[in-house]
Amino acid sequence: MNVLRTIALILSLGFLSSILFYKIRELRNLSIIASLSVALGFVIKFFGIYTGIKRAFSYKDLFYFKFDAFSNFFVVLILGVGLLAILASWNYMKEKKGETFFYVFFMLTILGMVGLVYSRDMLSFFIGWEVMTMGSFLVILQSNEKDRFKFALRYFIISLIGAYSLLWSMFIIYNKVHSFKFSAFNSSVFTKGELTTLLITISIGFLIKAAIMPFHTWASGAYSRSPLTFTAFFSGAMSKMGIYGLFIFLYGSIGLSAIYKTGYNEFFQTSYFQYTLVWLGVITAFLGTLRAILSEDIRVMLAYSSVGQLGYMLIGIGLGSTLGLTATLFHVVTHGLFKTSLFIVVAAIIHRTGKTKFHELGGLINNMPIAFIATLISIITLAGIPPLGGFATKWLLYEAMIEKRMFFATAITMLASIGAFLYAYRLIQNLFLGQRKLEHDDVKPAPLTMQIAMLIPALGMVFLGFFPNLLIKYTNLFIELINIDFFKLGVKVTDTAFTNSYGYWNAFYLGSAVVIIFIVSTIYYNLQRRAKIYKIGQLDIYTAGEYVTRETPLNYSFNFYGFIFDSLKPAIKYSVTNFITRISKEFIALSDFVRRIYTGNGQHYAIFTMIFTIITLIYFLS
Amino acid sequence: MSTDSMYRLLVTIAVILGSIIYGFFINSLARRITARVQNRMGPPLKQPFIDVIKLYSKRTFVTHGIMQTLGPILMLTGIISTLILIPYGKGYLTLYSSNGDLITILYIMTFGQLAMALAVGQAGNPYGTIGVARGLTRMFGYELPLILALISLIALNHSADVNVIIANQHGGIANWNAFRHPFVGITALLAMLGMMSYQPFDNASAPAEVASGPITEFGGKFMAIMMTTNAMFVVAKLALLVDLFFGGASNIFILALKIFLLYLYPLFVGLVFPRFAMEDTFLFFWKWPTLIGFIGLAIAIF
Amino acid sequence: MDDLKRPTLDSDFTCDMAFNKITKWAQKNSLWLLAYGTGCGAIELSPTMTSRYDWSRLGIRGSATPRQADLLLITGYLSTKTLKRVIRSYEQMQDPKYVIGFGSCTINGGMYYDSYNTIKQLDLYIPVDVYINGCMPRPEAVLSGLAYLKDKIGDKKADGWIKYKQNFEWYRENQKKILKSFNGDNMPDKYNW
Ligand code: SF4
Repeated sequence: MNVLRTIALILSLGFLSSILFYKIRELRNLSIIASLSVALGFVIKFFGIYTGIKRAFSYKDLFYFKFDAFSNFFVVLILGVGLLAILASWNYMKEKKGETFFYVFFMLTILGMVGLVYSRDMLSFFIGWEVMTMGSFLVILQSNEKDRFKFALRYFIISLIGAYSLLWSMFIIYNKVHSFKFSAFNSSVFTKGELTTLLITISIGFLIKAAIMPFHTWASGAYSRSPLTFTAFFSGAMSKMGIYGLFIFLYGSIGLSAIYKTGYNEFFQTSYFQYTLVWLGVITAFLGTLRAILSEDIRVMLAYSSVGQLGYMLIGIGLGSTLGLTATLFHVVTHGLFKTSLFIVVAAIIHRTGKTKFHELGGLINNMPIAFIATLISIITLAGIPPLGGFATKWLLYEAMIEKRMFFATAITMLASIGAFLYAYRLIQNLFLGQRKLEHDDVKPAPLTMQIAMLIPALGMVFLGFFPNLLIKYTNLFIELINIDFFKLGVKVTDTAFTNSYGYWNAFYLGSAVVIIFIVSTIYYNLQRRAKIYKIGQLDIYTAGEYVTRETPLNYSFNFYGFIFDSLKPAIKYSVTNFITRISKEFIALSDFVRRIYTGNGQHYAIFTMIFTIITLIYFLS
Repeated sequence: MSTDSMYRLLVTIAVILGSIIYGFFINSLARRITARVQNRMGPPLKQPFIDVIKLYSKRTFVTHGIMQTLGPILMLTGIISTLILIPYGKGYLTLYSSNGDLITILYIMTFGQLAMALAVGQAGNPYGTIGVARGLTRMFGYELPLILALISLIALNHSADVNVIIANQHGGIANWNAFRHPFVGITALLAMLGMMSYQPFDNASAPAEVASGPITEFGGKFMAIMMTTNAMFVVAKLALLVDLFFGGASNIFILALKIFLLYLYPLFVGLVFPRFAMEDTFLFFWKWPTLIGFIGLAIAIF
Repeated sequence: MDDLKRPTLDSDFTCDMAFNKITKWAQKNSLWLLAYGTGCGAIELSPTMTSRYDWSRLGIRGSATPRQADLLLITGYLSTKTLKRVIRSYEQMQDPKYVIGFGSCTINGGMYYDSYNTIKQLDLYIPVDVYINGCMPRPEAVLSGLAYLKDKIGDKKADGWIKYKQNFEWYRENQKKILKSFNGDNMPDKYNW
């Protein structure tokens, strides 16, 4: 039996059971989890088998699907993150309003995504794309937030713009090459201007989904207002579909030589289009990080963090070199891991305490030790500090950018990643460390399923930190697969050492060195045993001799980086969100004005009809 | 284990211990120089050692939780990991620098700082947290010119390998990066002021404002380890800057001399200028050093 | 003057104080002092630490928080309000720790002997290792007091912190006598809490 059909069958069964048993919690969840994990196991089992052979599947010469390592890479991410998110939702969505339909729409989203990732023609790609958008829009509506309608609608409308942009370019392509197949694209039938327009419209479609900076306005609202376990999936897997789309359209279908035809710069050895993409990514990474540093709501911070991290991925896509694409794919995995973990941690905290602002929380380390460990590992990965997986991305990305001689961009990206350290610290400090609030004394640890869901990605991050080469082995495989025109191996991977023309780095040795040094220092630290170590209470701190109580606000967490805010105040008020809000306000005013033609008076309507008829007649007769 | 790797390990351990001793030494020398500038005697040269031994011999230690206990060790781990990636000369003195390039060093430096920040957070003292927030803000400030300077070096040398950058500066003072590429050199020296957290930019650990900031809740053994790691970290940072901008060293004694001379620079700047406010610190780094850094990078590329 | 009997040490304190030569030497020569001035005597500390007398050559320096400090200087009269803070700061210091009573006010009340809101005898509330008398003592006297404390540490005689631990109830009782709202002000009864 065809592998693809089997996977489709398994997932559809899961979807059907989520509809059939939508009222019976245990049965519904178990069947969904079973279907997802069977499908995941299936994909992993056959992951590498068909790397060489193109195992394709088509229907009536219209829908083409292909089972190869590149798609499997993303499908494993989707199913894995989806599984974790559904596992976490078991407790998170329990007895919440919207629990019943949450799973139906969630499964619909997953189904759409798996479909679009396996598809190899634009039509089925687009159908999958729309199912995904629709499904996620409906999931957002299942949350309990009051203002969810507003943000869901904003997400949907902006997504629609992207979808039309995509659809338009697909029809242009079909018009010229008379086929929807990705592989049928033929750049010789397009003029330079047409190609440029095509590239721009296609990128707009995908950049909107990836929430890249001028198109990011939906992200903070949609991420923060959907049910948070879904946000883990939203940010961890779904936002990557934009990156996947760019990847497959730009390098899998249109091809590098066609992109170069639109204008090639000798100095940077890249086209202007790609150069723009890189700078969009850089600006997104930097501004997204800055917004994240300055936000006070945990969910909004994580949302902007996702925006910024997607910027890194776009940089890799824009570079278009093997090293850059490797960095992107690596970051797809690491970001998927740590963002899933972080969002589930935040979901657990909000589930247990009901608080969403940083300054309302604090000191939860003893209540939620597992969540603390998961957060610690996640933020180390997020900040890209060496012994864990995040550093591999950073290293690959910087080396890729330096290789293309984009030094300014590299500097700003590096600054953005330092900024990531700033907000990452806030996540652990203001949630888990510091003084515990009086009302949070008996907060229970995260529910079991959520603990599992947040720990599994953490383990993955530790593993990737020591053996990044295992992942690189795969990415090298399918970067080869999607026929990039020029292929030079940018990064040499021997065992665990990375080498390229500019630098080198040995993950395993470095990690082991850190571990060994840690063990030696711990032994040294504990040599002196005579002294007594007292564990003292929360309030026994230096307060200049003052006696404080639990009611005294002793957490430094509101406006944590107020210095930065004060310094950059003149610049901060100009934001895209404000601009869009202004425009939408004007638009509403305009619509309000236009609405007045509906006066409710029949004679007015008759006059309008007459004027319209006369104008039409004049137009056609002249 | 082969004799080669054995030697390397021994040299590494020697360098780690040496960096502690040397870090304390230049620290107390700096204190004496400060004292002389203020017309005082200053503490004896062995004062930092006495302080550390005393802190170790304290009879009680208090901790607020696991992270506060683990933090100093993790900090030590981070600093030693940084230390062994920096070359201190030729041959065995390159230590393990073949396991990571400049970017790796830049990132592993933050490991120690994260550990410190976590320990401070667990202690639950608002002064400590404010200190960390200030320190991180300052870091966000000075990293921009520093990164610009480092990227310029990478662009000029076509390599992120510290050993290669040292080798390219071979042959006299005129070939040192700080002099051959003055804009880059100036940027790095300005960024270094923030990096060393000396007087004009010591707002993170201001004793009178925020009760010495991050170290507020740390006494005894914890404080001793923090002092030790600080001494090592100063040596590591200075050694890296000497390697990158001042021609490295063929010999450990010349390196020590260069480190000391470079250390005098933030010290004297600190003696002249009073402390900056936090906003001014942040904006200072993003204004002139950044501008000079951009010019330097532009010259380096084109 | 009330003639309250001061507590004495138990004989088995030596285990707590088992210093070897090196640590004794280190503790003698590195005294970090809590920067906390109570009365008018604090004004004498400025010349003691700056260029004229420069105590840093003796290994003394200020520290901002009690966690790192070894030495608490009660510089003169201590109002009952300040006593609370002193107790708190003293208890937050790490063993071994020493206290110097500075000026006549700490010994017998000095010129505030009949004041209603200052304490008269400091060692009823926290153990004092060394007194420096005078109203106010000159920097030379301060330095000689510090030198005396160093000698005491060297002879293992500076044992106030053990005394405080062993007779903790006694000290608390005295403190509670003068600080009427001890528990009402959230002051904890325990030593480390
Ligand atoms: S002893 Fe004299 S100088 Fe000192 S506090 Fe008392 S009155 Fe003031």
